[in-house]
Amino acid sequence: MFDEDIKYTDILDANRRLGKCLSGAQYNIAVLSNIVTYKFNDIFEYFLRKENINAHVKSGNYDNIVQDSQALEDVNLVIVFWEAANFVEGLHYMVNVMDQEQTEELEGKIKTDISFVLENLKKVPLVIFNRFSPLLFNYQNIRQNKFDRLCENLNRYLEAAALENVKLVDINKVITQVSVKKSIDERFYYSSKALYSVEFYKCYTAYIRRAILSVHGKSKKVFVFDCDDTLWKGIVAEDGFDGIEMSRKTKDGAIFEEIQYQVLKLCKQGVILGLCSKNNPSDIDEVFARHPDMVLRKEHITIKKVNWNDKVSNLKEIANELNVAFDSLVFIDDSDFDLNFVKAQLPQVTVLKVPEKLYEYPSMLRKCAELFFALSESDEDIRRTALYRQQQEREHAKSKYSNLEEYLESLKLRLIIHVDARTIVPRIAQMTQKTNQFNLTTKRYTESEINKFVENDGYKIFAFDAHDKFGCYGITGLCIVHFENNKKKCYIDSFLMSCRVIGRNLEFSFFDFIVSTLKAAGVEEIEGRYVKTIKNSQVSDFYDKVGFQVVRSSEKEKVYRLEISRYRGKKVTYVQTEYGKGN
Amino acid sequence: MCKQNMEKGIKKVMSAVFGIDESAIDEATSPDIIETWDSLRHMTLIIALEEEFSIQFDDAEIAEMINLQRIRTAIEKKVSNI
Repeated sequence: MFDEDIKYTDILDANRRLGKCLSGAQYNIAVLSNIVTYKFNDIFEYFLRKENINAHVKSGNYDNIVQDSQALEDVNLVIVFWEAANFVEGLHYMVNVMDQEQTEELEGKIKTDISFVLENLKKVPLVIFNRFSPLLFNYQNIRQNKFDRLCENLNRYLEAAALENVKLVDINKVITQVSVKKSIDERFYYSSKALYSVEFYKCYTAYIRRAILSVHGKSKKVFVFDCDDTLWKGIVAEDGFDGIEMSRKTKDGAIFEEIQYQVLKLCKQGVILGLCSKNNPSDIDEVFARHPDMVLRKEHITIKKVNWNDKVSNLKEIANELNVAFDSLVFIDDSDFDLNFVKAQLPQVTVLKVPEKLYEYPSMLRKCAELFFALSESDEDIRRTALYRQQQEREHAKSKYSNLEEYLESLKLRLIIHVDARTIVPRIAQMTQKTNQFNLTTKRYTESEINKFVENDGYKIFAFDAHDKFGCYGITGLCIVHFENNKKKCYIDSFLMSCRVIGRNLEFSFFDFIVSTLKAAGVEEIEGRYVKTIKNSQVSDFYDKVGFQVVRSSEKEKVYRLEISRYRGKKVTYVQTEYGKGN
Repeated sequence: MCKQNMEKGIKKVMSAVFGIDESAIDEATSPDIIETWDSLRHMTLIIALEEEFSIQFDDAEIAEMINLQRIRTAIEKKVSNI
C-alpha cells in the first residue's frame, strides 16, 4: 500500500529514476500557491510514478495564483495551495487588529480573486483546492478570532463557487494525522515561506492520491471476504449457528457489527462484494439467510466461493467470472496461512489481515475503504460496472417474485444465436478454456483449433449471446457439433455455458434451437456424452433431462443417444431465440 | 557512526538532491559548481540531511553549509560517537 516511511532522499532518488524509465502519456500537474511548496513536487510525482502514472509536476510562480491560473496549457490537474495566512503577508496576525471595514474589504477582494481563479480553471479536468485553514496558527485559541472567522466565511464562499471539476480538500484532516507541530517547519516558513514539512506533504499525498488513482482507473473494485473471524466472531462449523457473534450484544460481536455496517456502506457505494471461505456452503448460506444479527445479506454478495478449494484458485475464479484484473481485488482474511499463499501466488491482489487486536479492526477497515474511492463515474467506469450492477438488479428483482419461474418470465430473456461466426472465435476458445462447471465434456481448444472447426464442413459451432431486460451477458453459451460423413448422425463434442447465465434454463432453449436446426439439415441421430470432472457434477444429468437414452455408462463418462424424431424438448416459453446478424 | 558511513551518507544525500553522481562529489562541490544548487535546493539538502542523520540545524548553520567540508563539520558537531 502506501509507504509513508520512505526517506526524502530515497524519494528524490527513486523519483528521478522513475522519471527516466516511465513512458506513456504525460500527466501534467500544476501547483498554484502563495507559499513555497517545491518539496511537494518530488513527493507527489514519486507516489504517482510508482503507480505507473507518468506524472510531471510544475509549480507556478510564488504568490501568483491569479495570474498563473490564466496561463495554464495542457494541464490535467491543478492543485491549489492558497494559504490564508499569506493572502497578504502576515494576515494571520494582522487581521486580528483590523477594523470591520478593512476586514470586509479584504474579504471581498479575496472572494473576487477566488471566483476569477475558479473561472480560469473551469476547463481543467480536475482541480484539487485546499480549504482555507487557520489551524496551524490558531489551534490554541479557546475563542474564535477574526482569522478563524475569515477562513470560515471564505470556505463557505468557496463551497458555493466551486464547479463540478473542483474537489475541495480539508487539509485539517491531514494536519490532524501529522500533528500541528510536525506539519510546519517554522524555520523555513519565516526564512522562505516554505510552510509545510516533508511529513505533511507525504501525508497529504497519501490523502489525495486515491482521487488521482481513481481518475486513472486504478481504484479497487471488488472486496472479497473470508467469513469466520472476518465477518463474524467464531467459526460457524465449530461454534454453530448460534455460537457466532456479530452484534453489540457481546464485546467482540460489537466490533463485527461495525465491520458489517462499514462493508454494507461500501456495497451501497458500488463496491462488488465477494465471499471466499473454506466452509460448507449450506452453513454460510444459512447464516446469510437467517441469522438475526447479520447486517450483510445474500443480496449484497455478488460472488461467492464457499467450498474447500484453496483460496488462490477461488480468487482466480472470482477475477475470472467478474472479468476483472487481479489488481482490482482486495482480499481480507484472518489466517496467515491463506494470506501468505495468496500473497505469493497472486501478488497483484491487495491482501489485508484482520488485526490480532480486534479493536483495531474497524479503524483499519475505515482506512482501507479509501482503496475503493471513486472520484466520479466516468463513462468508462459506468460501462465497466454495468455488468455487476445488472447482476445486482437481477438479484433484487428476484426477491420480488414468489417463484423462480415467475422471476425468469419477468426477465424477458433472449438468446441471439451465432453459427460458425468468425468474429467471436477468440471468445469461443476462451470459453472452452475457462468454463468448468456447466461443461459436459470439458474439452479445451485454442483459437486456431476453433478456426479449423469453423472452416471444416464436418463441424458446426453454435454460440449464444444472452440478453435480458437489464442488459447483455455477452457470449456465454457454446455447442460444438461434429457430423459423420453421411451427415445423418452427429456428435456433440462440447456443450457449455458460462456460470453467469446458469440457473435461467437457457440451456434448454439453446438445445431446442440446436436440435431443430440439425433436424432441418437432415440429421437423424445425435450422440452426446457427459465426461465427469471434479467440477461439473451439476450437468451429470443434462442429457437425461432433454430425453436422451443412456447407451453406456462408466465411472468416468456416460454416453447418450437420441433419435431426433422423438425429441420433445423443454419448450421454455420465456426465452426467445433468434439468429444473430451475419449468420 | 563511523566517519566512513557519515561520508557515504552525505554523498548519497547530495547525489539525490542535486541529481549528480556520487563520484562527482568532492571537496570543491559547491553552489558555484553545481548548477542545480540554488536556494530552494539548499533547503532540500538541509531537510534531507536532517532526516538522514536524525539531527536539526539552526539558521546560522544552514547558511554556512555550502560545501562538502562545511557540511561534514556541521554534522560532526551534532552527531555523537563518531
